[in-house]
Parts: sequence; structure tokens; C-alpha cells
Amino acid sequence: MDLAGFIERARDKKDLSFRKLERASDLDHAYIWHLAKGSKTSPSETTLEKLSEALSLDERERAILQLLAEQPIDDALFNLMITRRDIAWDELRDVSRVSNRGDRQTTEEGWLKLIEHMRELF
Amino acid sequence: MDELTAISRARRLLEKHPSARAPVDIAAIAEAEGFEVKESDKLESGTAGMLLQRGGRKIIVVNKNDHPYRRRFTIAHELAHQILGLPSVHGARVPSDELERHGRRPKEEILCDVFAAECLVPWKLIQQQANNLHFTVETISELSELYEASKPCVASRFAQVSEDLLAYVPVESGTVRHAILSRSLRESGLRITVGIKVPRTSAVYRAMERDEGIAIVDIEGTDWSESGVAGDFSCHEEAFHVGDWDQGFTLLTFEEAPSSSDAVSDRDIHEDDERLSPLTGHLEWGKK
Repeated sequence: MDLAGFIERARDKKDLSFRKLERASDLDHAYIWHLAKGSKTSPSETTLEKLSEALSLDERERAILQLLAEQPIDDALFNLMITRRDIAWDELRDVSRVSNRGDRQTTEEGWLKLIEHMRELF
Repeated sequence: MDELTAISRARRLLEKHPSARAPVDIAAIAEAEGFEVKESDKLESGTAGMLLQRGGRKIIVVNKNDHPYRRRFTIAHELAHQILGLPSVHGARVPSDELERHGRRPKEEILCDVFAAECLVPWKLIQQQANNLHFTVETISELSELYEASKPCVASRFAQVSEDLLAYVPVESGTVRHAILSRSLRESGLRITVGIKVPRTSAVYRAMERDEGIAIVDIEGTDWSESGVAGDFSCHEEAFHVGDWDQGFTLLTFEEAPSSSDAVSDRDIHEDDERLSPLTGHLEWGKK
């Protein structure tokens, strides 16, 4: 999942057109369009705040949006971030930033194992 | 970021933690830089290691089941992710073999490998050896033990720093995966094409066919290169092949073939002047 995909997902979920999102966020229509298409990246904190408000994101979704502004997230980990609210955000964020040499986690099971491994190490 | 930047950052790190001789104590350097280094037997076999961070603590975990040289490379590679500011891009399966699979790996992983190779086989230490020793499988095996780094790692560094006409060529399933050429070879105009099947006349082909570990041949420059200048060179080739992995590498040492005018002047030289010593079958360590 990347920033553009997440904005599109949230826009679809709320059934918001670009025009409606523009009005709700007070952001330029073209700028939102470019963010949603991936042709612009690294939005400012203020832009992320406005988007979060306009897309009615909850606390976890806002954290995901912030993280996606820094880096893409593996789809399996993204699903865990959305569905497993019982796992602390810090743990999910920290595993998303792990650097690997060799195979990476690409399944929910793999990411859960890594979270467990981190708990043991720290 | 490019490879030169990765190399210069590695050199800067080594300047902070100087080591007069090989092997470089990469774990000690990592710890001096604020990383904890731990070994784990819980990592999958395809995972060499990872860098984990939480609350200011940075832990490099390496796969306890890997060969010690591979574990050292992993420490340096993970150190690179942090020092170069290049996190892994998730969501992709990436082969972990250092340097052998350049073409199929993300750029950030290649740069971290370049950094790691520079740390484990520092330019300051390898340069003299590369200019005094023959580029042979035996030399690479001995240097691999000295530096406690894999043969591919040492061979690629040797080729990079040598002033001779050398190429290190990793091969997988009979196909050229990559080619690291010495500076003088690049300047000569000779090219090794990546992605081609290895020549049937080559040592690496022979090693694969006969499932031999090592094969040695003397061939023409045109056997390995389609460059227009290839006809001006002869090539000494030594290959190392691991049948079980269907992988290996070959070491190419090119030499400019004497021109016809050189041949005439050779005949004028007195028999005892500046001629090579008779071959004894004994390989000399130094070549200068």
C-alpha cells in the first residue's frame, strides 16, 4: 500500500469525489488529484491533517496516513494495521521500518512472527 | 545516491575505526556506532538478517545458521541501511546473495552491499594485494580466509581496485549475471555482456559441464567479448563452480596480444635479456 492507494481507498470508502474532497479539505483539487495518482509525494504535516479531517480518518488510519507519507507498506502488514487494533500501533510501525537482508515478510503470519520476535528482543 | 557515495561513506566509517590488518572487526565497529549485534536461530533460511529499531535502541539480528563470513557481511549490510539512510522497500522477495545477483535486486540493497564489501575488504588493505598477486581462484580463496569474507565479495573488490586488465564475472545457470571490470579494462574498451550464455570455450563452461570445482583455460579476448578491440587481447580464465547451487564465478585476466611489430623486435632481443624465467610448475605468490 502506498500513499496514493490509501487516499483512493479512503475516498472510495466515503464516496468522495475530488471536488468534494477539495471543498472538505480546503486543498487544491489538482494537488489532491496528483497525490491520489502518486505523481506527488511527501505532503506536509498540514496537508496530512487536512486530508485526515476531510476523509474522516480515525486515529489508527491517521497514523497509517502519516507513515505512508514516509514509505510504502507491505499489503499484508497494511491489512494487519487496519484489522488488528489489538496490536499496539508502535509495534506495527516499528516492524514496518525493519530493514532486511534476504526474504521479506509478505504474509500476515510472517509479520506477526516478526512482531513477536521484536517483543523478545526489546 | 550512487555507488561512489556509498563507498566514501564506508571509507569514512573505517577511518573512524581504523584497522591495520584484516579481518575488519565489523561487529565491534557496529557496537561502537551504537548498534547491538545479536544472533538468532529464529530467522527463516532465506533471511540473512535485519535491522530493528525501537525507542532509540538499534539491534542488528543475524541468522545464526548462516556461514560466519555471511554473518559478517550481513552486519555490514544492515549497518549500511542506517548509515546511508536507505531503508528496505517491503513487499518484495529479494535474493540475499551479496553481489552475485545485481540485476534483480533493488538499488538500495545493491548500495548497501557495495558499502558492506568496502567495509569488509577495505581499499587500503586490498589494493596492494590486488596489484601484487595473480587473479586466480587460489588467490581469492586465500584472501577470502584472510578477510573473512566470501569469495565473490573478495573477487569483486580485487577486480575493482586492480590496475591490471581484470574482470570478475558471476555466473548462474550458465548465464552471465554481472561483470565487475577493473578500471584499466573499462578504459581499454573491452566489454563483457551481461545476460549472455557463457562461451563454450570458457573455463566456467568447462567447470559446469564436467561439474568440476575449478577449471582453467587460456583463450582469446574474442571468446569473452564482442567489443571491436577484443581481438587485440588474450585471456587467462579461472572459474569456480558450485554444482549444487548451479552458480559460480569466473576470473578473467586479459593481456594485450603483442602486435606484429613487437614480434619482430622481440627476435632482436638477446636470448638472456628480460625473458621470463622457465616455467617450473610452481606458482609464485608475488608477480612483481
